[in-house]
Formats: sequence, C-alpha cells, structure tokens
Amino acid sequence: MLRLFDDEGERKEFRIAIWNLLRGHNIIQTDVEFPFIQENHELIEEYLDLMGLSLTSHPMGGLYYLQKEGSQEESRLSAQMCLIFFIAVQKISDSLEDSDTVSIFDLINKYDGYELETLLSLGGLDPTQINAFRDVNINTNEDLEKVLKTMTRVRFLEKLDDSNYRFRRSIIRLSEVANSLHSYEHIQIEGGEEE
Amino acid sequence: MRLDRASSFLAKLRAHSKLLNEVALRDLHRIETEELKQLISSIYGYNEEQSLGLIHTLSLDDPESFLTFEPPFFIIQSRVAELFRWLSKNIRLQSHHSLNGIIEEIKSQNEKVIEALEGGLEYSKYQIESSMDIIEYRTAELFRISEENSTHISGVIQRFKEGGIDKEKRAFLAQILLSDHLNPMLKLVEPEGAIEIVFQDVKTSLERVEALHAFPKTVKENARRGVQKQRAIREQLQKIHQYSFTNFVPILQSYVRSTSILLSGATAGVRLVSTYGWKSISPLTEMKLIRSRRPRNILADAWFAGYNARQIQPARDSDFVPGSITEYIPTLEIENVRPLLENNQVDDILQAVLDLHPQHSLTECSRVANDLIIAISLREKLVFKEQKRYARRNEELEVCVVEVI
Repeated sequence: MLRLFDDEGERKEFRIAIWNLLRGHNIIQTDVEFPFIQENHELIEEYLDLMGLSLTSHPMGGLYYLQKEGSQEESRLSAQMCLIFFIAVQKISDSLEDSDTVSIFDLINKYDGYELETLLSLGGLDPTQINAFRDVNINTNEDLEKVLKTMTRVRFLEKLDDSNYRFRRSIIRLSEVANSLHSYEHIQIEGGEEE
Repeated sequence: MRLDRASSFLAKLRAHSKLLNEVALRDLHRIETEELKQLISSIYGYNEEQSLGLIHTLSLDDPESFLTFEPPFFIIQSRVAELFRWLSKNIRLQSHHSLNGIIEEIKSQNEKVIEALEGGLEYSKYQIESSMDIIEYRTAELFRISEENSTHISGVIQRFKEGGIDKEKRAFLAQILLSDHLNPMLKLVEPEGAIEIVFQDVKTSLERVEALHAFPKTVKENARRGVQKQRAIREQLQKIHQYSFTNFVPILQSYVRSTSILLSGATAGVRLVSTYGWKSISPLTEMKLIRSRRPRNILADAWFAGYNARQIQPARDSDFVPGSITEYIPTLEIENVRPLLENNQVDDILQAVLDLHPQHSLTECSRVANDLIIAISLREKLVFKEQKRYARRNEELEVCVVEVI
C-alpha cells in the first residue's frame, strides 16, 4: 500500500517530482527533485508502476527518468536527438587540439558549453551529416533549434545565458547509443571505396 | 627539324611505355637503380648489361631525356609522369616535392631573365621571351596542382567520414596528408616561403623588362601581362592553401590521434543514418523516450463553470433567460396601472403603484407613476403635497406626494 506523506512540504516535492518525470525530464544529481526521488525511490516506483510506467535509475548512477514498458514513444524525436548529439561530437572532435580525444566526461564538464546552434548550423555540415539530418526531418536551422529546445526541456542540455548549450549528465543515454554503434564503424557500406 | 624531334621522342615513349608507366605511377615518380633493373628484367627479360644499356638510352638527351639520376633514385621527367598519370586516370596528390620542383624551375628561368637583362647572354630578347613563357606555364601549373590537391584531400576526408576504411590505415593516410602535403605546402606560401620569394624576384625582373626601352613592345607587353597574372595566381594560391590548412588540418589531426569509442560510434551513427535511414538502425529505434504528459490536459470543473459564465449574455429585464434563477418580471407599462385611473380617491399615486407592483424597482414604478400623473392630469385635479422619501431594495427617491382629487 502506498504510504501517504504527512508533511505538506513533502507532498509538494512529490507532486513536482512526479509531474517532471511525466514530462519526460531526465533528472540528474544537481536537480532539486533528485534527493527526494533518491530518498523515496521505492514509493515513487510503486506509484508509477500502477500507471504502467517505470522509474529508471541509470546504472552509472545520478540519473532518473521514466520508461513506458513495451512502448516506442517519440521514436523520431529520439533519433533527432541522437543525430544532433552524434554530429556535435564529430564537430567538437574536429575542433580539438592534436592528441586530444573527445569523451563524454569532457562534454559534461565543459562548463561554458558549446555554441551548438553555430556548430551544427546546416551551412557548415558535410554532405553525410546533412543527409543524416534530412532523414530525421531536420531540414532547416529552425528545425534544429526546435529540437535543441526540446532537448533543453527534457534536460539533456542546459541553455546558458550567453546562448551556449551545456551538456548535462543525462546525455549518457545518448552516448550509450553511440557506443553501441561503435562496432559498425568499419563496416563497408554499399558504394563505399577504400582509398 | 622540330617535327623530327617530336616524332623521335614519341616513338621512344611508345616503345618503352610499359616501363615508363610503371615508374610514373610510383610515389614521386622515382625508382631506385636496383629496383629499376628488376623492373626492366621483368618487362623485357633483359640481363643486367642490357638493362643498364636501356637505362642509359632513356637517360640520354636524344631528343629529350626520360630519366634523370638523382642518387639513389632514377626520376622520370615530370611531364612524362603527368602524361601517364593522366592517361591512367590515376591523378593523385602531388607532394610538395613536385611543387618545389616547379618553383625551382621558375627560379632558374628568372635567373636566365636577369642574366639576359645584364647582358650576359647573346640572344637576350629570345631568352627573355622563352623564359617568360616557361614562367607563365609553370606558374599556371602551380595553381592547377594546388587546386587539384585541395580537391583530392577534401575527397579523401569525405571518404574517411563515410567510413569503410580501416582505422590504422586511415590514421596512416591522414598522417601522410599532413606531413607530406599540408604542412610543407603552407610553408611554401608563407610570407617568407619559397613561392613568395620566387614570385617577388620574378615580379622585379618582369618589371625591369617592362621598363626597358631596348625591348620590342610585344615583349614589354608580355612582361606586363605576366606580372598581372602572377599577382592573381599568388592571391589564389594563398587562398587555396590557407583554406586547406584551416579546414583540413584539424579534421586530419583528429584521425591521426587515437579515436575514442564515442567519436567512432557517433561517426558510424551519422554514416548509417545517412545511408540506410534511422528506421533501419536498431539502437536508434530502440531508444525509449516517453511522450511528455502535461498536467494542462486535466480540466478543472471550475473552468467549465467559468466557461458557462462567459457565454451568458447580460440579461435585460424584458429578456427571457432560460435557466436563469431570477423570476421573469415584465417591463411596467401604463396599462398595468390603469385601474388607478378609475379610482379618483388616491392619496399617493407613487405609493399606490409601488403597492400594486411589489416586484418592480423604484425607478420602474416612478417612471410609470409619472406617466400616470400626466394621464390623470388631463381630466382630474392633482394636489401636490409634502415631500416624502420612498425606498425599495437599494433605491431611494425623495419627491412630493401627488394626490388625485
């Protein structure tokens, strides 16, 4: 049975946490809801389970988000977000000094963020990147900004005062997709030629 | 005479085309002596002595040499190499060695121009014309090679991005492009670089030719045109190499260093989506992102009540409002108070109207009382008496009492 919160403050925290999870937010350690969810993990899990949703705690820790079992919701949006992340990784990697390699920790710990709107602007992309963007319906810079805004809303990114975007810890989810594609890197695609 | 030379040259070229083609397609179109002997042996079946004889024939200036010996290599004449590469559709990158060779030739021709200007050569006019021709041709070639190199490197980088090339091979190729092409070429176009220096020297010489009255007008005109062309090509060369350096170097450097799993995965992701579409890539389609549930979709009863209230028009007394909680009260007309006309003994007309219609407002009763007073005054006598205060609900009125006599 669900335990009720006696304290009005706790009830309010519960409400905020539940609604933000339902909004699709990825809640990380620095978010205000995090300590409450961590402390009342089992209760919230039980509550959401009744609604057919599961509270997921990322194996690396420090990240909560909701999943709906057996359902593929917002699949195009997730593909758009992945592509934005992949191309951002490529562009950031291109700009690094010799002998540096791009890692998820570098991305998260770049406190002044990246100029993602400029970096990913369609005018500065190569044909492969543009084709990939087109496939997920990102055809203009406005489309790109719209998805960046959604990524900010669901807390994959944080928009800073100077319009730069900072990667939040939650992009671990996107980096896992990239890591799973690592083994495909050297697979020859039709029409490709070796030098 | 010239035609004989050309025929002789082409015949020799044709006779040894297989050998020359092999050497032309090698890196820097050069080959070591021992390797050349083995190659001759495999093509013609010659022994060592015969091989040395063929090498000697190809090195003779009769009518032009095909091979030059620069220990430990035999180098094929650059134009012959270009011809074979063009014919084999295998035009590859030309390294800074090729560009350096062209620069050296321009420099040498410029020295001949200077020598001619200083009276050191017998046929100075013809020497200057010939050198200017070569300088112009080689300068254009410098530009063409740079442009082709830039396009080629761009194509190689695109293939790197598309994947399908082994990581180690890619790192090796990237390193070659950086060390043998981009870095040395940038040095060539630097303000103190070889191209800048030789171009400056040529400019000075050509300006001297242009200024000398001793030369015919055509030579002076050619010198002036040469200066203009060289200026334009110099700017374009700088632009090409600067562009190559800023755009290609960071990307190639990223391939030279060890690639992270994250970057290689991201690159694979972009490549696969670009080729097959995101729906074919299972890690992408399997990523579960829930649709945002918004509290705004829960509609409050109070909101509906508020909606009804907004829809109800302000009711007038005479309007019938279905569902209204207030009772319908028709507007008071003189007909409603006409019974008072029949009674001549009313001592307070307004009070009588108020008594007769208790549901109507004071204003409404006062209005109809006034109408009644006017109607009565036409046939009866009215008496105005003391002031009296009337009140009904929130309304108050102070008027004289009117009595009908």
